[in-house]
Amino acid sequence: MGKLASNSPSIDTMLTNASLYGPWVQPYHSRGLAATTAATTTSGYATSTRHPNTLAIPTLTAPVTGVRFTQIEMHSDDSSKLYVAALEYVLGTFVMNTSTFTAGVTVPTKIIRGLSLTGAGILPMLAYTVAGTGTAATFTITYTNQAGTANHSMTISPPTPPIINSAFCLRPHLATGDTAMRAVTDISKTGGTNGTIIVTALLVLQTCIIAPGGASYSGLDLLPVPNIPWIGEAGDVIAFYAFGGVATSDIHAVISGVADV
Amino acid sequence: MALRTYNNFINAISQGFGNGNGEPFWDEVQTLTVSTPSGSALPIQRLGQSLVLPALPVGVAAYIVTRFLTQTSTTLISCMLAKLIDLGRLDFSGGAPGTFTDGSTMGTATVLGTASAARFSPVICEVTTAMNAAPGTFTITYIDQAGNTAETTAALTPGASAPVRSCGTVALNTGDLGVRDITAAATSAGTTPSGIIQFWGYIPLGFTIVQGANQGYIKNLLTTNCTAFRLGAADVLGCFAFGSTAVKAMVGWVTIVGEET
Repeated sequence: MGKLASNSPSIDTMLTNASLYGPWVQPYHSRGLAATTAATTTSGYATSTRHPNTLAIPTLTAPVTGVRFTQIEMHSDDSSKLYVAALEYVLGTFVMNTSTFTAGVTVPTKIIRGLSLTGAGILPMLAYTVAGTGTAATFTITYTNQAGTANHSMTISPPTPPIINSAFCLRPHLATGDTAMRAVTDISKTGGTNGTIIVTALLVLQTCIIAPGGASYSGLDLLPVPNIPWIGEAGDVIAFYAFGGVATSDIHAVISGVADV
Repeated sequence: MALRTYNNFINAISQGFGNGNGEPFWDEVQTLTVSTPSGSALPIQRLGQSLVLPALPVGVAAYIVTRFLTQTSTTLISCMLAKLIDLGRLDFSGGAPGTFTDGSTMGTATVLGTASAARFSPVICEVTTAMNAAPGTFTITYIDQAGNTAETTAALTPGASAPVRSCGTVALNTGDLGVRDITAAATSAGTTPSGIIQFWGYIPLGFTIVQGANQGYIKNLLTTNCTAFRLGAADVLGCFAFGSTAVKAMVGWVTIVGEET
Protein backbone atom coordinates (compact mmCIF):
# COMPACT_ATOMS: atom_id res chain seq x y z
CA MET A 1 0.00 0.00 0.00
CA GLY A 2 1.34 3.38 -0.87
CA LYS A 3 1.35 6.49 1.17
CA LEU A 4 1.25 10.19 0.72
CA ALA A 5 3.24 11.47 3.65
CA SER A 6 4.24 10.10 7.00
CA ASN A 7 6.77 11.70 9.27
CA SER A 8 6.77 15.37 10.07
CA PRO A 9 7.45 17.19 6.81
CA SER A 10 9.60 19.97 8.21
CA ILE A 11 12.72 21.49 6.73
CA ASP A 12 14.70 20.08 9.63
CA THR A 13 13.33 16.59 9.10
CA MET A 14 14.31 16.69 5.47
CA LEU A 15 17.79 18.04 6.21
CA THR A 16 18.21 15.34 8.85
CA ASN A 17 17.07 12.56 6.57
CA ALA A 18 19.35 13.82 3.81
CA SER A 19 22.23 13.56 6.25
CA LEU A 20 21.29 10.17 7.70
CA TYR A 21 20.17 8.28 4.61
CA GLY A 22 21.62 10.16 1.64
CA PRO A 23 19.63 12.32 -0.77
CA TRP A 24 18.49 11.29 -4.25
CA VAL A 25 19.69 13.80 -6.83
CA GLN A 26 19.16 12.53 -10.37
CA PRO A 27 19.52 14.41 -13.66
CA TYR A 28 17.42 13.35 -16.64
CA HIS A 29 17.56 14.41 -20.28
CA SER A 30 15.18 13.33 -23.03
CA ARG A 31 16.35 14.54 -26.42
CA GLY A 32 15.63 14.26 -30.08
CA LEU A 33 11.98 13.21 -30.02
CA ALA A 34 10.11 13.62 -33.28
CA ALA A 35 7.16 15.97 -33.38
CA THR A 36 3.97 14.29 -32.23
CA THR A 37 0.35 14.52 -33.39
CA ALA A 38 -2.00 17.30 -32.35
CA ALA A 39 -5.20 16.44 -30.56
CA THR A 40 -8.59 17.05 -32.17
CA THR A 41 -12.16 17.38 -30.96
CA THR A 42 -12.53 13.61 -30.87
CA SER A 43 -9.37 13.19 -28.81
CA GLY A 44 -9.99 15.99 -26.39
CA TYR A 45 -7.97 18.94 -27.67
CA ALA A 46 -5.29 18.49 -25.02
CA THR A 47 -2.25 18.01 -27.24
CA SER A 48 0.47 16.19 -25.36
CA THR A 49 3.77 14.37 -25.75
CA ARG A 50 4.91 11.58 -23.46
CA HIS A 51 8.67 11.33 -23.14
CA PRO A 52 9.32 7.59 -23.34
CA ASN A 53 12.20 7.26 -20.90
CA THR A 54 10.99 6.96 -17.32
CA LEU A 55 12.98 7.14 -14.10
CA ALA A 56 12.55 4.36 -11.55
CA ILE A 57 12.62 5.12 -7.85
CA PRO A 58 15.96 3.81 -6.53
CA THR A 59 16.22 0.90 -4.15
CA LEU A 60 14.95 1.87 -0.70
CA THR A 61 16.67 0.33 2.29
CA ALA A 62 15.03 0.17 5.74
CA PRO A 63 14.11 2.22 7.61
CA VAL A 64 13.56 4.24 4.44
CA THR A 65 10.14 3.54 2.97
CA GLY A 66 9.84 6.27 0.38
CA VAL A 67 11.24 9.37 -1.20
CA ARG A 68 9.84 12.83 -0.56
CA PHE A 69 10.36 15.07 -3.57
CA THR A 70 11.82 18.35 -2.40
CA GLN A 71 12.46 19.82 -5.82
CA ILE A 72 11.83 18.86 -9.43
CA GLU A 73 13.20 21.25 -12.02
CA MET A 74 12.46 21.04 -15.73
CA HIS A 75 14.00 22.94 -18.62
CA SER A 76 13.20 22.93 -22.31
CA ASP A 77 14.06 24.63 -25.55
CA ASP A 78 10.37 24.95 -26.20
CA SER A 79 7.96 27.80 -25.51
CA SER A 80 4.41 28.20 -24.30
CA LYS A 81 4.00 24.69 -22.95
CA LEU A 82 3.18 23.02 -19.69
CA TYR A 83 5.57 20.32 -18.55
CA VAL A 84 4.50 17.74 -16.03
CA ALA A 85 6.55 15.31 -13.95
CA ALA A 86 4.39 12.61 -12.42
CA LEU A 87 4.32 9.22 -10.82
CA GLU A 88 3.05 7.12 -13.69
CA TYR A 89 1.10 3.88 -13.46
CA VAL A 90 0.52 1.91 -16.65
CA LEU A 91 -3.01 0.56 -16.27
CA GLY A 92 -3.13 -1.37 -19.53
CA THR A 93 -1.50 -1.97 -22.91
CA PHE A 94 -3.24 -2.61 -26.22
CA VAL A 95 -1.55 -3.94 -29.37
CA MET A 96 -3.69 -2.88 -32.29
CA ASN A 97 -2.77 -5.36 -35.02
CA THR A 98 -3.72 -8.33 -32.82
CA SER A 99 -6.26 -6.52 -30.64
CA THR A 100 -4.40 -7.87 -27.63
CA PHE A 101 -5.09 -6.24 -24.29
CA THR A 102 -2.76 -6.73 -21.34
CA ALA A 103 -3.84 -5.45 -17.96
CA GLY A 104 -1.38 -3.32 -16.04
CA VAL A 105 -1.29 -2.23 -12.43
CA THR A 106 -3.97 -0.76 -10.22
CA VAL A 107 -3.17 2.69 -8.88
CA PRO A 108 -1.96 2.12 -5.31
CA THR A 109 -3.76 3.59 -2.33
CA LYS A 110 -1.88 6.49 -0.81
CA ILE A 111 -1.97 7.49 2.83
CA ILE A 112 -1.57 10.88 4.41
CA ARG A 113 -1.28 11.10 8.16
CA GLY A 114 -3.03 7.81 8.59
CA LEU A 115 -5.87 8.59 6.23
CA SER A 116 -6.19 6.30 3.27
CA LEU A 117 -6.87 8.11 0.03
CA THR A 118 -8.55 6.52 -2.92
CA GLY A 119 -5.98 5.17 -5.26
CA ALA A 120 -6.84 6.76 -8.54
CA GLY A 121 -4.78 8.60 -11.07
CA ILE A 122 -5.49 12.28 -11.03
CA LEU A 123 -4.75 12.51 -14.72
CA PRO A 124 -5.57 9.52 -16.97
CA MET A 125 -3.73 9.54 -20.31
CA LEU A 126 -3.49 7.50 -23.50
CA ALA A 127 -0.09 7.36 -25.22
CA TYR A 128 1.23 5.70 -28.35
CA THR A 129 4.36 3.64 -27.70
CA VAL A 130 4.29 2.36 -31.28
CA ALA A 131 2.99 4.69 -33.99
CA GLY A 132 -0.50 4.06 -35.28
CA THR A 133 -1.29 3.24 -38.90
CA GLY A 134 -4.39 2.78 -40.99
CA THR A 135 -7.67 4.57 -40.66
CA ALA A 136 -8.64 6.51 -37.57
CA ALA A 137 -9.15 4.20 -34.60
CA THR A 138 -11.77 4.45 -31.91
CA PHE A 139 -10.84 2.84 -28.61
CA THR A 140 -13.32 1.65 -26.02
CA ILE A 141 -11.74 1.48 -22.58
CA THR A 142 -13.40 -0.36 -19.72
CA TYR A 143 -12.22 0.84 -16.35
CA THR A 144 -12.76 1.05 -12.63
CA ASN A 145 -13.54 4.61 -11.63
CA GLN A 146 -12.24 6.72 -8.76
CA ALA A 147 -14.81 5.27 -6.36
CA GLY A 148 -13.94 1.69 -7.17
CA THR A 149 -16.95 1.05 -9.39
CA ALA A 150 -15.98 -1.39 -12.13
CA ASN A 151 -17.09 -1.75 -15.74
CA HIS A 152 -17.47 1.89 -16.62
CA SER A 153 -16.53 2.59 -20.21
CA MET A 154 -15.45 5.44 -22.41
CA THR A 155 -14.41 5.96 -26.01
CA ILE A 156 -11.77 8.10 -27.62
CA SER A 157 -10.79 8.60 -31.26
CA PRO A 158 -7.23 9.87 -31.66
CA PRO A 159 -6.34 11.67 -34.87
CA THR A 160 -4.63 9.67 -37.57
CA PRO A 161 -1.88 8.81 -38.08
CA PRO A 162 -0.76 9.18 -34.46
CA ILE A 163 3.00 9.44 -34.23
CA ILE A 164 4.89 7.59 -31.51
CA ASN A 165 4.85 9.38 -28.13
CA SER A 166 1.67 11.27 -28.98
CA ALA A 167 -0.51 11.41 -25.88
CA PHE A 168 -4.11 12.37 -25.22
CA CYS A 169 -5.92 13.21 -22.02
CA LEU A 170 -8.72 10.80 -21.18
CA ARG A 171 -10.39 12.79 -18.46
CA PRO A 172 -12.87 14.64 -20.74
CA HIS A 173 -13.98 11.28 -22.14
CA LEU A 174 -14.74 9.49 -18.87
CA ALA A 175 -18.31 8.46 -18.12
CA THR A 176 -20.51 11.16 -16.63
CA GLY A 177 -19.57 11.80 -13.02
CA ASP A 178 -16.23 10.05 -13.23
CA THR A 179 -13.07 11.97 -12.52
CA ALA A 180 -10.31 9.38 -12.55
CA MET A 181 -9.30 5.76 -13.11
CA ARG A 182 -8.12 3.16 -10.64
CA ALA A 183 -7.67 0.35 -13.14
CA VAL A 184 -8.32 -0.66 -16.73
CA THR A 185 -9.93 -4.05 -17.35
CA ASP A 186 -10.30 -4.04 -21.13
CA ILE A 187 -9.47 -2.10 -24.27
CA SER A 188 -10.95 -2.77 -27.70
CA LYS A 189 -10.95 -0.88 -30.97
CA THR A 190 -12.59 -0.25 -34.29
CA GLY A 191 -10.57 1.06 -37.22
CA GLY A 192 -6.82 1.49 -37.29
CA THR A 193 -4.27 -1.15 -38.23
CA ASN A 194 -0.99 -1.18 -36.34
CA GLY A 195 0.26 0.58 -33.27
CA THR A 196 0.48 0.09 -29.53
CA ILE A 197 -1.15 2.25 -26.90
CA ILE A 198 -0.85 2.42 -23.15
CA VAL A 199 -3.34 3.88 -20.71
CA THR A 200 -1.63 5.57 -17.81
CA ALA A 201 -2.68 7.24 -14.59
CA LEU A 202 -0.61 10.15 -13.33
CA LEU A 203 -0.09 11.51 -9.85
CA VAL A 204 1.37 14.89 -10.64
CA LEU A 205 4.53 15.81 -8.75
CA GLN A 206 5.53 19.05 -10.44
CA THR A 207 4.26 21.34 -13.17
CA CYS A 208 6.41 23.78 -15.04
CA ILE A 209 5.24 26.54 -17.32
CA ILE A 210 7.60 27.22 -20.20
CA ALA A 211 7.25 30.92 -20.97
CA PRO A 212 6.32 32.32 -24.38
CA GLY A 213 9.16 33.32 -26.63
CA GLY A 214 11.37 30.34 -26.07
CA ALA A 215 12.63 29.71 -22.62
CA SER A 216 14.27 27.43 -20.22
CA TYR A 217 12.40 27.51 -16.98
CA SER A 218 12.49 25.33 -13.93
CA GLY A 219 9.08 25.86 -12.34
CA LEU A 220 8.15 26.93 -8.85
CA ASP A 221 9.92 25.52 -5.87
CA LEU A 222 7.94 22.58 -4.60
CA LEU A 223 8.12 23.11 -0.87
CA PRO A 224 6.39 26.53 -0.59
CA VAL A 225 3.64 25.48 -3.00
CA PRO A 226 0.57 23.80 -1.51
CA ASN A 227 0.80 20.81 -3.81
CA ILE A 228 0.06 17.24 -2.83
CA PRO A 229 3.35 15.74 -1.63
CA TRP A 230 3.06 12.33 -3.23
CA ILE A 231 5.70 10.00 -1.85
CA GLY A 232 7.60 7.83 -4.31
CA GLU A 233 7.80 4.21 -3.27
CA ALA A 234 9.44 1.01 -4.42
CA GLY A 235 8.29 0.18 -7.93
CA ASP A 236 7.12 3.70 -8.75
CA VAL A 237 8.39 5.42 -11.85
CA ILE A 238 8.52 9.08 -12.81
CA ALA A 239 7.37 10.08 -16.29
CA PHE A 240 7.48 13.40 -18.11
CA TYR A 241 4.72 14.85 -20.30
CA ALA A 242 4.56 18.08 -22.29
CA PHE A 243 1.18 19.74 -22.91
CA GLY A 244 0.27 22.39 -25.42
CA GLY A 245 2.16 21.61 -28.62
CA VAL A 246 3.53 18.94 -30.90
CA ALA A 247 6.91 20.43 -31.82
CA THR A 248 10.00 18.39 -31.20
CA SER A 249 11.54 19.41 -27.92
CA ASP A 250 14.03 18.29 -25.33
CA ILE A 251 13.42 18.16 -21.65
CA HIS A 252 16.14 18.36 -19.05
CA ALA A 253 15.04 17.66 -15.52
CA VAL A 254 16.53 17.15 -12.10
CA ILE A 255 14.84 15.16 -9.39
CA SER A 256 15.78 16.00 -5.80
CA GLY A 257 14.42 13.97 -2.94
CA VAL A 258 15.10 12.89 0.60
CA ALA A 259 14.23 9.80 2.55
CA ASP A 260 10.81 9.28 4.08
CA VAL A 261 10.95 6.87 7.01
CA MET B 1 28.55 18.60 14.70
CA ALA B 2 26.59 17.09 11.86
CA LEU B 3 24.51 19.63 9.98
CA ARG B 4 21.01 18.20 10.29
CA THR B 5 18.82 21.20 11.05
CA TYR B 6 18.52 24.76 9.79
CA ASN B 7 19.80 25.99 13.15
CA ASN B 8 22.82 23.69 12.82
CA PHE B 9 23.75 25.58 9.66
CA ILE B 10 23.23 28.97 11.31
CA ASN B 11 25.39 27.92 14.23
CA ALA B 12 28.11 26.60 11.94
CA ILE B 13 28.19 29.87 10.00
CA SER B 14 28.32 31.91 13.19
CA GLN B 15 31.25 29.81 14.34
CA GLY B 16 33.21 30.54 11.19
CA PHE B 17 32.51 27.44 9.14
CA GLY B 18 31.07 29.41 6.23
CA ASN B 19 32.97 30.99 3.36
CA GLY B 20 31.82 34.50 4.01
CA ASN B 21 30.13 36.25 1.13
CA GLY B 22 30.73 33.30 -1.11
CA GLU B 23 33.12 31.95 -3.68
CA PRO B 24 33.00 34.11 -6.82
CA PHE B 25 31.74 32.34 -9.91
CA TRP B 26 32.22 34.83 -12.71
CA ASP B 27 32.62 34.25 -16.40
CA GLU B 28 31.88 35.47 -19.89
CA VAL B 29 31.25 33.83 -23.26
CA GLN B 30 32.68 35.94 -26.07
CA THR B 31 31.83 33.76 -29.07
CA LEU B 32 28.52 32.29 -30.17
CA THR B 33 28.67 28.60 -29.36
CA VAL B 34 27.51 25.68 -31.51
CA SER B 35 25.61 22.68 -30.13
CA THR B 36 28.03 19.77 -29.87
CA PRO B 37 27.06 17.12 -30.62
CA SER B 38 24.24 18.24 -32.86
CA GLY B 39 20.72 16.90 -32.53
CA SER B 40 19.86 18.26 -29.12
CA ALA B 41 17.16 20.91 -29.36
CA LEU B 42 17.99 22.37 -25.94
CA PRO B 43 21.10 24.57 -26.23
CA ILE B 44 23.69 24.08 -23.51
CA GLN B 45 26.72 26.23 -22.93
CA ARG B 46 29.56 26.12 -20.44
CA LEU B 47 29.35 29.24 -18.32
CA GLY B 48 31.45 29.81 -15.23
CA GLN B 49 34.92 28.61 -14.46
CA SER B 50 35.56 25.33 -12.68
CA LEU B 51 35.85 25.67 -8.94
CA VAL B 52 38.01 22.95 -7.42
CA LEU B 53 37.26 22.60 -3.75
CA PRO B 54 40.34 22.86 -1.54
CA ALA B 55 41.56 20.36 1.03
CA LEU B 56 39.21 20.02 3.95
CA PRO B 57 40.36 22.22 6.81
CA VAL B 58 41.15 20.54 10.10
CA GLY B 59 37.91 19.69 11.84
CA VAL B 60 35.79 19.78 8.68
CA ALA B 61 34.35 16.56 7.27
CA ALA B 62 32.50 17.86 4.22
CA TYR B 63 31.46 20.95 2.30
CA ILE B 64 27.79 21.76 1.71
CA VAL B 65 26.65 24.36 -0.84
CA THR B 66 23.89 26.40 0.77
CA ARG B 67 23.30 29.20 -1.74
CA PHE B 68 23.79 29.83 -5.43
CA LEU B 69 23.48 33.29 -6.96
CA THR B 70 23.74 34.35 -10.60
CA GLN B 71 23.20 37.43 -12.69
CA THR B 72 23.63 37.15 -16.44
CA SER B 73 23.24 39.41 -19.44
CA THR B 74 20.99 37.01 -21.37
CA THR B 75 17.29 36.39 -20.94
CA LEU B 76 15.35 33.16 -20.66
CA ILE B 77 18.04 30.80 -19.54
CA SER B 78 18.64 28.70 -16.49
CA CYS B 79 22.01 28.13 -14.92
CA MET B 80 22.87 24.80 -13.36
CA LEU B 81 25.46 24.52 -10.62
CA ALA B 82 26.70 20.96 -10.47
CA LYS B 83 29.38 18.70 -9.16
CA LEU B 84 31.20 17.69 -12.33
CA ILE B 85 32.67 14.24 -12.88
CA ASP B 86 35.40 13.93 -15.49
CA LEU B 87 34.38 10.90 -17.56
CA GLY B 88 37.15 11.39 -20.13
CA ARG B 89 38.04 13.44 -23.17
CA LEU B 90 38.56 12.84 -26.85
CA ASP B 91 41.23 14.54 -28.95
CA PHE B 92 40.31 14.66 -32.65
CA SER B 93 43.74 15.74 -33.87
CA GLY B 94 45.73 13.22 -35.87
CA GLY B 95 42.66 11.68 -37.46
CA ALA B 96 40.65 8.56 -36.65
CA PRO B 97 40.33 7.05 -34.11
CA GLY B 98 41.56 10.08 -32.19
CA THR B 99 42.96 9.85 -28.69
CA PHE B 100 40.69 9.01 -25.79
CA THR B 101 41.90 9.80 -22.30
CA ASP B 102 39.85 7.98 -19.70
CA GLY B 103 38.54 9.80 -16.67
CA SER B 104 36.79 8.54 -13.58
CA THR B 105 33.44 6.84 -13.07
CA MET B 106 30.25 8.33 -11.65
CA GLY B 107 31.05 6.43 -8.46
CA THR B 108 28.75 5.28 -5.72
CA ALA B 109 27.01 6.91 -2.80
CA THR B 110 24.51 6.22 -0.07
CA VAL B 111 21.13 7.01 -1.59
CA LEU B 112 17.88 6.71 0.38
CA GLY B 113 19.44 4.32 2.85
CA THR B 114 21.14 2.12 0.28
CA ALA B 115 24.91 2.09 0.63
CA SER B 116 27.12 2.06 -2.46
CA ALA B 117 24.33 2.83 -4.90
CA ALA B 118 25.77 3.31 -8.38
CA ARG B 119 25.30 6.79 -9.77
CA PHE B 120 24.50 7.52 -13.39
CA SER B 121 24.18 10.70 -15.40
CA PRO B 122 23.45 12.01 -18.86
CA VAL B 123 26.68 13.02 -20.60
CA ILE B 124 27.39 16.64 -21.40
CA CYS B 125 30.06 17.25 -24.05
CA GLU B 126 32.12 20.42 -23.74
CA VAL B 127 34.43 21.66 -26.45
CA THR B 128 37.63 22.58 -24.63
CA THR B 129 39.73 23.07 -27.78
CA ALA B 130 37.91 24.47 -30.80
CA MET B 131 36.80 22.01 -33.46
CA ASN B 132 37.95 22.48 -37.04
CA ALA B 133 35.58 22.95 -39.96
CA ALA B 134 35.21 19.23 -40.75
CA PRO B 135 35.86 17.27 -37.57
CA GLY B 136 33.98 14.15 -38.71
CA THR B 137 32.00 12.14 -36.19
CA PHE B 138 32.61 10.27 -32.97
CA THR B 139 31.14 7.54 -30.80
CA ILE B 140 31.41 6.75 -27.14
CA THR B 141 31.30 3.36 -25.45
CA TYR B 142 29.76 3.36 -22.01
CA ILE B 143 28.30 1.42 -19.10
CA ASP B 144 24.64 2.29 -18.81
CA GLN B 145 22.54 3.03 -15.74
CA ALA B 146 21.86 -0.66 -15.15
CA GLY B 147 25.48 -1.75 -15.44
CA ASN B 148 25.28 -3.07 -19.00
CA THR B 149 28.73 -2.78 -20.51
CA ALA B 150 30.00 -2.08 -24.00
CA GLU B 151 27.10 0.05 -25.11
CA THR B 152 28.23 2.15 -28.07
CA THR B 153 26.37 5.16 -29.34
CA ALA B 154 25.46 5.84 -32.93
CA ALA B 155 27.72 8.34 -34.67
CA LEU B 156 27.64 11.78 -33.05
CA THR B 157 28.44 14.95 -34.97
CA PRO B 158 30.38 17.84 -33.41
CA GLY B 159 29.48 21.30 -34.54
CA ALA B 160 31.67 22.48 -37.40
CA SER B 161 34.19 25.00 -36.09
CA ALA B 162 32.52 24.83 -32.69
CA PRO B 163 34.34 27.18 -30.33
CA VAL B 164 35.27 26.38 -26.77
CA ARG B 165 32.33 26.30 -24.33
CA SER B 166 30.10 24.71 -26.99
CA CYS B 167 28.14 21.93 -25.34
CA GLY B 168 25.44 19.35 -25.91
CA THR B 169 24.22 16.07 -24.56
CA VAL B 170 25.02 12.66 -25.96
CA ALA B 171 22.22 10.66 -27.58
CA LEU B 172 22.47 7.33 -25.76
CA ASN B 173 21.00 4.09 -27.00
CA THR B 174 17.24 3.61 -26.85
CA GLY B 175 16.02 3.28 -23.30
CA ASP B 176 19.24 4.41 -21.67
CA LEU B 177 18.96 7.16 -19.08
CA GLY B 178 22.60 7.79 -18.38
CA VAL B 179 26.06 6.34 -17.93
CA ARG B 180 27.99 4.99 -14.98
CA ASP B 181 31.21 5.30 -16.93
CA ILE B 182 32.65 6.00 -20.36
CA THR B 183 35.17 3.33 -21.28
CA ALA B 184 36.14 4.38 -24.80
CA ALA B 185 35.55 7.01 -27.46
CA ALA B 186 36.71 7.23 -31.04
CA THR B 187 36.56 9.59 -33.98
CA SER B 188 35.75 8.80 -37.58
CA ALA B 189 36.27 10.53 -40.92
CA GLY B 190 36.61 14.30 -41.12
CA THR B 191 39.14 16.43 -42.95
CA THR B 192 42.33 16.97 -40.95
CA PRO B 193 40.16 16.94 -37.84
CA SER B 194 41.14 18.79 -34.71
CA GLY B 195 39.61 19.81 -31.44
CA ILE B 196 39.05 18.29 -28.01
CA ILE B 197 35.75 17.31 -26.40
CA GLN B 198 35.48 16.82 -22.65
CA PHE B 199 32.83 14.39 -21.38
CA TRP B 200 31.14 15.40 -18.13
CA GLY B 201 28.89 13.48 -15.81
CA TYR B 202 27.18 15.67 -13.24
CA ILE B 203 25.23 15.84 -10.02
CA PRO B 204 23.10 19.00 -10.04
CA LEU B 205 23.21 21.10 -6.89
CA GLY B 206 20.91 23.93 -7.88
CA PHE B 207 19.42 26.04 -10.65
CA THR B 208 18.88 29.73 -11.07
CA ILE B 209 16.48 31.21 -13.59
CA VAL B 210 17.07 34.31 -15.69
CA GLN B 211 13.82 35.68 -17.08
CA GLY B 212 14.99 39.15 -18.04
CA ALA B 213 18.32 40.57 -19.12
CA ASN B 214 20.61 41.42 -16.21
CA GLN B 215 18.27 39.93 -13.66
CA GLY B 216 19.78 38.30 -10.64
CA TYR B 217 18.49 35.17 -8.98
CA ILE B 218 19.35 33.78 -5.57
CA LYS B 219 18.65 30.20 -4.64
CA ASN B 220 18.60 29.13 -1.00
CA LEU B 221 19.35 25.46 -1.43
CA LEU B 222 18.56 24.58 2.18
CA THR B 223 14.91 25.55 1.86
CA THR B 224 14.31 24.58 -1.76
CA ASN B 225 16.20 21.35 -2.36
CA CYS B 226 16.89 20.24 1.23
CA THR B 227 19.37 17.69 -0.05
CA ALA B 228 22.42 19.26 1.66
CA PHE B 229 24.65 17.40 -0.76
CA ARG B 230 28.02 16.58 0.82
CA LEU B 231 31.13 17.49 -1.17
CA GLY B 232 34.76 16.72 -0.53
CA ALA B 233 38.24 17.97 -1.27
CA ALA B 234 39.11 18.19 -4.97
CA ASP B 235 35.47 17.94 -6.02
CA VAL B 236 34.86 20.14 -9.05
CA LEU B 237 31.95 22.59 -9.20
CA GLY B 238 30.91 23.93 -12.58
CA CYS B 239 28.04 25.73 -14.25
CA PHE B 240 26.16 25.22 -17.48
CA ALA B 241 23.63 27.58 -19.07
CA PHE B 242 20.56 25.94 -20.61
CA GLY B 243 18.59 27.68 -23.33
CA SER B 244 21.12 29.86 -25.11
CA THR B 245 24.22 29.81 -27.30
CA ALA B 246 24.60 33.60 -27.26
CA VAL B 247 27.51 35.59 -25.94
CA LYS B 248 26.94 36.55 -22.35
CA ALA B 249 28.47 37.37 -19.02
CA MET B 250 27.70 35.91 -15.63
CA VAL B 251 28.37 37.17 -12.16
CA GLY B 252 27.73 34.74 -9.37
CA TRP B 253 28.63 33.38 -5.99
CA VAL B 254 28.52 30.03 -4.32
CA THR B 255 28.13 29.95 -0.56
CA ILE B 256 29.55 26.93 1.20
CA VAL B 257 29.38 25.73 4.80
CA GLY B 258 31.78 23.25 6.34
CA GLU B 259 30.40 20.33 8.33
CA GLU B 260 32.37 19.58 11.46
CA THR B 261 33.86 16.18 11.98
